[in-house]
Amino acid sequence: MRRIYILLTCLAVIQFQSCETLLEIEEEGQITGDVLSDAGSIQKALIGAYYNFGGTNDGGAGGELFGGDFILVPTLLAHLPGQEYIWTSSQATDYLVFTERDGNPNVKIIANNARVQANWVRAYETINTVNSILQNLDKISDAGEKSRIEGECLAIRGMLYFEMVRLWGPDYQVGSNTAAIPLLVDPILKISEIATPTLATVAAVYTQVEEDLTTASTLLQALGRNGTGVNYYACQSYLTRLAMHKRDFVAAIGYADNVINNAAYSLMPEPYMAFNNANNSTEDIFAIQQSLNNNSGDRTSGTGIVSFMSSLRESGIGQFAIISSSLNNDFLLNSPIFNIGDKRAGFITSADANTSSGDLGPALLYNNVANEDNSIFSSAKFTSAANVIPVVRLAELYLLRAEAVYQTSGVTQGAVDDLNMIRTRASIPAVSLADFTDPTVFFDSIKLETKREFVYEGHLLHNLRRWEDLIGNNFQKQDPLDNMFLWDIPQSEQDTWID
Amino acid sequence: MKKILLSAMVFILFATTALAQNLTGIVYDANSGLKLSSVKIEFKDEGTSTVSDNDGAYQITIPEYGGKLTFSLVGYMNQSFNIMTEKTLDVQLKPVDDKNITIGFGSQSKEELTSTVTQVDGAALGNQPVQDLEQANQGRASGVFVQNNGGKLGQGATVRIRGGSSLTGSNQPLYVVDGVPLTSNSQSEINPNNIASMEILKDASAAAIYGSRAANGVVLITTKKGQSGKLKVDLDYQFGLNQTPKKLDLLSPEQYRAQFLEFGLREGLDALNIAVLLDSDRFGPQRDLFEQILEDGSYDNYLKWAAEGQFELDNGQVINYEDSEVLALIEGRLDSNQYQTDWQDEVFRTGLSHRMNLNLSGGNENVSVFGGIGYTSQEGILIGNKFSRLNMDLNLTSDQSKAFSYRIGGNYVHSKNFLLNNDQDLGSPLQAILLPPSDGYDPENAYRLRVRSLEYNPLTEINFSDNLENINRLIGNAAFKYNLTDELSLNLDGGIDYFDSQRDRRQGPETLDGNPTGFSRLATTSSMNYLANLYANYLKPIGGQNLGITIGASYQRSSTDFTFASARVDDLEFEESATGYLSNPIPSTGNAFLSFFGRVNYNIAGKYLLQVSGRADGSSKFGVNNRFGYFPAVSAGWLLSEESFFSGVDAVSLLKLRGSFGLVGNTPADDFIYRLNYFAIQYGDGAEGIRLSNLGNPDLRWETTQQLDIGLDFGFLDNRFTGSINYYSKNTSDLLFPVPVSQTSGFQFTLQNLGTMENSGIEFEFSTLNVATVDFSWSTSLNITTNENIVTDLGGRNLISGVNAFLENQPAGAYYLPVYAGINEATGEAQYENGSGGITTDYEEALANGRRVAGNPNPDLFGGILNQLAYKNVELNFNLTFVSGADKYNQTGEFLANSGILNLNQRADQIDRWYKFGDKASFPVLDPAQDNTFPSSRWIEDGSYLRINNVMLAFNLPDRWISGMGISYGKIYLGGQNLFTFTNYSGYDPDSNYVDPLGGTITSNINRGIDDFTAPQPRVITTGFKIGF
Repeated sequence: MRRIYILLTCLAVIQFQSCETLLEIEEEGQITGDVLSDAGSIQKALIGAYYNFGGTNDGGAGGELFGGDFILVPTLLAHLPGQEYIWTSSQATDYLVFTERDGNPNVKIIANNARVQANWVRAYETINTVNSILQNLDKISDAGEKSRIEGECLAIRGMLYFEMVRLWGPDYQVGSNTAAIPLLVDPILKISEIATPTLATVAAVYTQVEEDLTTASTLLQALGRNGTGVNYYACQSYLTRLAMHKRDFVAAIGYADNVINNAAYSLMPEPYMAFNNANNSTEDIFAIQQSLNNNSGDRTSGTGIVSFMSSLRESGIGQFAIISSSLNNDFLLNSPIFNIGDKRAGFITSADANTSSGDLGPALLYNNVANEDNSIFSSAKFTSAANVIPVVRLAELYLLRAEAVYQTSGVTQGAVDDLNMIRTRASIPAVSLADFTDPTVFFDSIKLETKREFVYEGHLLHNLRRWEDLIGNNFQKQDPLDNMFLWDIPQSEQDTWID
Repeated sequence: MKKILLSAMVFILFATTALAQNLTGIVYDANSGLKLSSVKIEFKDEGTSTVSDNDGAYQITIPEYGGKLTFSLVGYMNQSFNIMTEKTLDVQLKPVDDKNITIGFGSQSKEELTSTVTQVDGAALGNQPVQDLEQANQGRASGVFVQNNGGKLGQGATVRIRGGSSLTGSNQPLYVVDGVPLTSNSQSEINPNNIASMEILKDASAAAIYGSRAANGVVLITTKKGQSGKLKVDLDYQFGLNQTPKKLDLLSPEQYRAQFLEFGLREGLDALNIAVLLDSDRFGPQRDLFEQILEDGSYDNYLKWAAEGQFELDNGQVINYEDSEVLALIEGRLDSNQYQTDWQDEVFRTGLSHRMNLNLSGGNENVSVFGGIGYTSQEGILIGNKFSRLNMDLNLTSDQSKAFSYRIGGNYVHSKNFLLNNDQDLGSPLQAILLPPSDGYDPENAYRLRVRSLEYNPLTEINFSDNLENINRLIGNAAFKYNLTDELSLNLDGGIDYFDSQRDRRQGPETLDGNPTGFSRLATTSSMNYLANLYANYLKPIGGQNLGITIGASYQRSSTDFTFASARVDDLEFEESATGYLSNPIPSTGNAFLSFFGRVNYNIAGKYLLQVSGRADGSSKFGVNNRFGYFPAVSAGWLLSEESFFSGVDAVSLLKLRGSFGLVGNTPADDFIYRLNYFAIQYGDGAEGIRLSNLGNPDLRWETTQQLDIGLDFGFLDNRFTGSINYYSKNTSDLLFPVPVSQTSGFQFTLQNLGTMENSGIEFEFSTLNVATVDFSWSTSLNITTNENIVTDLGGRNLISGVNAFLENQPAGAYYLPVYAGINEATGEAQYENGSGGITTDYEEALANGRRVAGNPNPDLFGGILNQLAYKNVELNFNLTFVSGADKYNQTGEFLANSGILNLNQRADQIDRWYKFGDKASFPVLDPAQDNTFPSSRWIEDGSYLRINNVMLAFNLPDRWISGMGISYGKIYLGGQNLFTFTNYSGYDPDSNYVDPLGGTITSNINRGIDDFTAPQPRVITTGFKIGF
C-alpha cells in the first residue's frame, strides 16, 4: 500500500525522478555489487576458483583444465591412435582433432576447436577470479586467513599459467622468447575494462609462475597439507616440474627434497590404491575434489575425464579404448612395456554391464565394456566421478628427483633408491647401482618407469618434450615439439582482437 | 372498345389490389437470436418506411410494382431484399464490428481510431480444439504470425507481431488481460470460450501507451462480463478425436535389412560371404545392388574373392564360404533381424479430448455478474502425453451510481500436464522412428531392443519415467472509476498475475538418465506480478470538435522464485538424506516498472483526427544512467468519407486515411544484467562458493523501435465490403547483442547495445458479405501480411548458432550453412560448395570456407481466409491458413534422410542412393565411417503451406423445437481442426518451430524453423453441443 501512496504523490507532482526508489529493488539470493568485501565472501569466491580449476560440470561446460582435458588431451596427443588406443569417433567429435596425425608439423591444432576454446575461457575465468580476490585482500582482517587465501590464489594462478604455457606455448628450451598467452594479473569486472590482450613470452610466463609459486610457498608453508586446498607442497611440486622444464636440475632437487623429506605424504601400499578415492590419498599432494553431485562430469553430462576413460555403464562411455597389445610392444616408442607381475598392468576381462567402480578390485585395466572385443581395454584410473582426480602424486616427485639427480650427478644410490620406491610398490624387481654401468641405461629406466607409472595421466607429452624424445613407432615418428602438437589461441578469441 | 377498356381497368384494378398487400415479419439479431426493435424498414425508392416494435415485429405495405426493401439499425449491417409478392419475411441482421475498440486505458470507436488495431472476436476463438489461446488465433489477424512450436501438448506457439524486433530479448507481444499486463505467460491458458474480444495493438501510436514493452505489439484481452437482466445459462460440451495427420514413409523391415547388410559390407568389419547372401534370395530387389557393390573395386580393402567359393578376409585369412561358421555368422545376422515393428504405430495413438463449459450471467441495474467454469482434458497424439485444465472465471461489474462504478474479476486456472522429453532427447517418443523396423522390443526387459540392445528405445523412457507439471494461475483485477464531472473521470486499477508451477520428474534405473539408481527431480517456479494504474480521462466536445485526454501513472512489480532439488533415487518423494541429494539455491529474479503515460485525441468535425500518446518508463532492469526511456507517438486520420465531396457517393460508406509514427521500447529478457552478478556453486563435497555470472554494464540501454504506419480503412455498399490496408516499417536500434569479447575476461560474449534491425510489410484485411438472403448468408474475411526482416547492422559482428545465424544484411535467424551440391558420381560422397566457385567433398573445408545464407526461416507472407455460411438453421464455418516463404530446417532429416548414418532407419526415398561408380543417384553413398551428420543446405526445405485449419458444421435447433422447454438456443455441431495441409515439406508438419525449452531467449530467437523430431499438430475431429437457458 505504501507504494501506492508514493505513486499517488509522484503523479501529483509529476516529478518522477524522485520516485526512483520504487525501482531500487532486490531479490532473494541475488549476489551482486561489491561482493568481495569480507573474508567469508572472498572464501566463497576462492571456492569458485577451485570449481573452475577442476572443470566442474555446470550443465553445459565441464571437464576442462584439471578436471579432464589437462589429462585427456596430452594423452591423446602423445599416444598413437589405432596402435595404442581407439577413439570411437561418433560421441566425442570435439576431441577428434587431437587424435588426427595428418597435420602440417608447422600448423597448430585448429583454433576453432571447441575444447581448446572451452579450456581457454575456463582458465581465464579462474584467473580473473583469483585476480579479483588478490585485489581485495585488504578486506580480510585475520592475518592468517589473509595469507592463506593469498597463497592459494597465487598458487592457483601459477599452476594454471604453467599448464597453459605448456599447452599453448612451445617448450621452454626451444621457444622461451615466443609470444604464447596473455598474462593477466589484474581483474576485469566491467565490460569497459575488457581490452585486447598482449601475448607474453614463454619466459615471461615462467617468470610469473615462478614468482607466484614462490610467494605462495612462503605464505602456505606453515599450513602443512592445508586441507584439500593447494598447499606448500603442491607449490613445491609445481616448481619441481617447472625447474625440470627449464633443465634447472639443481633447483628441481631442492624443491623435490622439500616435498619428499618434510611432508606427511607416503606412497599408497599398492598402485591401484592411488586412484578412485573419495578423499585425497596419502600420496595426493593436490587433487581435484569431486562428489556425486559436483564433478567434472560423467556419462550423463558427456564431459569430464571419467566420461571418456571409464567404460563402466554407470559412469563412462569408454571413448578412450586401449589396444591391449600396446601395453608391451617394443615396436612402439612409448609402450610402457609392462611385464607380468607389474601391478600397474593388473587387468580383468570380466567386466560387463553390471560392473561398478568398486568391483574392479586391484585391476588398473579392464576389458572395455562398450566394446565386445576383450583385447580392447579401459584404464581403471578414473572410474567414478564421485572420486578425486589426482593432480600431483608423490610418486612423481621420486621419479623427478631421480632424474634430476641423474642429470647432475649421474647414477647415485639415492637416485636408484627413488626409482626402487616406485618399482617395488608395483611388485617388480628392485634394481641396484650395479645394473647401470652405462648411465644412459639408468636414464632409460627412469623414463620407462615414468611412462609406466603415469600411463594415461597426461604426463607423457610434456615428458617427451623435456626428454626430446619422439612419439610413434619404429617407422612412424613425430616430434612432440612440432607446432602440430600445440594448441592455437581460439579463433573466437583472435576474432575479438579487432582494435 | 369499351369492353376492352373495361377489361383493362378491371385488370389494373385487380393487379393493384393484388400488389398493394402487406408484408410482415420479425427481425432478429443474427448472432444472439434476440428480437430487434427500432429497426428501420424502408422502401427507399418509394419513401415509405416503418420500424419494428418491441417484439421485433413489423408490417409494411408493398409498393405497387414491388421494390427494394432495406433493413437498417445502428450497429448492424444493412440488409436489402427485392420484394414482389412475399407475405412474410423474417430477417436476421448481422451486427457490424463497430463495437468500441479497447485501446488501453480507454476505448475508441472504429471511426475515431487513428492507430492500427486489429480486433478478434472472442466467439471465433472459443470453438477450436487447441490447447492454447495463441494457437486459436492462428490466421485470424493480419500482422500476427502464429507458429506452433510442436505438436506435443505443452509445447505452445510462437507469436510474432510484424516480425521480431529483438535478437536477445523477448519477441512475444505484451499480453494485457482486463488491464493486467502479464509476466507469467498465463494468456495461453485463459479459457478462450470466455474471451469477449481481443485487440491487437500493432503500430507505435496504439502501443506507445504501453511504452517499454510494446515493441512487439500489445494484445489486449477482455474477458466476458455479465449482462444485466435475468439469469442466462450457457452450457457447452465438445468431444474430440486427435490423430497424427501424417505418417512418414520409412524403410520396410526388408528394406532395412538390405541397408543393414550394405552397412556391414561397407564397414568391412565382418567379411560376410556375399555369395551366400545372394544365393539365399533374401535380398529380393536389392540383390543386384549387392552384386555391384562387390564388383566395385574400392571395397577390395575389406574383402575380396580369393577363388571361386572362397573368401579372403582383410587379415589375409582365406575361408571357404561353405564353412559352417561363416554360414552361421550370416544366418545369425539375418535371423537376429527377423522382427517387424512399425515404430510410428508404437508411438502415435488416437487421443481423446473432452471440453465442457458452464457459464452464468445476470444481474440487476446496479450489479451484473458473469461466472464461468470450464474443464478440458486432452490426450496427445504421442503416447504418454496428456493434459487437463480447469478454468474458473468470475467478473463483477457495477454502476452503483452515475458517479461511481467498479469492476472486479478473476480468472483462475489449474492445469496438469503429463509432459514428454524434449524433442531432441533420445527419450522423446518420436525418436523411435530411427530404430530399425526389423527389430523388436521386450517389455519384460525394460522395452530394450531385441537386436540392437544398445540403442535407446523411447518406450523405455515412457514406461519407466514420470514427467508431470502442475500449474496454478490466477489473474485478478479490480477497477474503480469515479466521474468527477461529466467530462472528467478518475480511474484506479489494480491487478495481480500469479503463477505457480511444480514439475516432478522421475527417471527409473531402466532409463538412460536414471541409470543405475534412478534420478528424480523436483522444480518449482512461482511468480507474482502486481500493478496499480491511476489515470484520468477527460472528454470534452467543443463545438464540432472532440477533445479527449488520458493521463496517468502505473507501477508494476514482478518477482519470481525458483527451487530445484534432485536425488539419485527412483522416487519422487525423496528427502534430503536421499542418495545424491542436491539442492542449489537459485536466486529469485524480479523487476519493477514505474511509468507515466498520456494520450490526447483531438477530433475536428468527425473528419480530422489527431492523437498524441506516449509513455515514460522507468525500469529496474537498467542502471541509473539509463533507467528511464521515453516513448512518444503521434497519429492522424482523415475520414474522407465524411467529406462533402463524398456525400454523393453512396457506394462508399467508410474511407479513412491514417498515419502514425512513434517510438516503442523493449527491455532485456534478464533482470539485473546491468550490474555485476555472481551465482552460487558448490565444489567437491558441497563447499559453497560463488562464480561470476556476468560483468557489469552500467550503460545498458533500452532497445528502441521507431515505427511508421500508413493505412487506409474502407467500407463499401453499406459496409458490406470492409477492409483496410496498412504499410508499416519498424526500425529497431540499440539492439542488445552478445558481443564477442576477449575471453581473458572469462566470458565469450557480453550483452551490449549494438545493432539495428528492420521489419517492413503490408497488411491487408478484407471482409465481405457475399450473399445475404432470407435463408442463406455467406461472409468471407481474408487477411494477408507480408513481412521483410533484415538485421541491418551488428558492428561487423555476427552470431552463429547451430544452423542459424544473426548476420548483417540478412534476416534474423537465417540459415547459414555449407551448401550441398549433390553427389560425386565417382565416389558417391556428398559434395558442397567450397566458397571459391568450386565444389568439394571435404565437409570441413565447406564449413570453413563455403558457408553462406541458404534459407530464411521467417515467412514472406502469411494469412488466413475465414468463411461463415448459414442456410436456415445450418451453419458452416471453414477457415484456411497459409504461410509462404518460411524455410524449414528438417533436422530430423540429418538422421532420417542421411543415407544411413549410424545405420539408423531411413526414409524410404533414401533407397535411391549411390551404390556404384557412375550412379546418378539422388542421395550420397551409405558411409559407415561418417561420424557427423554434416548439417548443410541439404535439409533446408520450403515450409510453405495452405491448411484447412478449422471447419465446423452446426445445426441450430429451430425455435419451435425448443420453445416451451426453457431453452433459449441450442446448437449441435461436427467439426475438425487441421484437416488437410497442402505442402511440399517432407517432414511431419511445416507448421513447427522447435524451441529448446532450456535454450533461453536468444536460442528461441536465433534457432528458428527447426524440425527436430518435432511432432505434428494433431488432426482433430470434434463434435459437441451448445445450449442456453
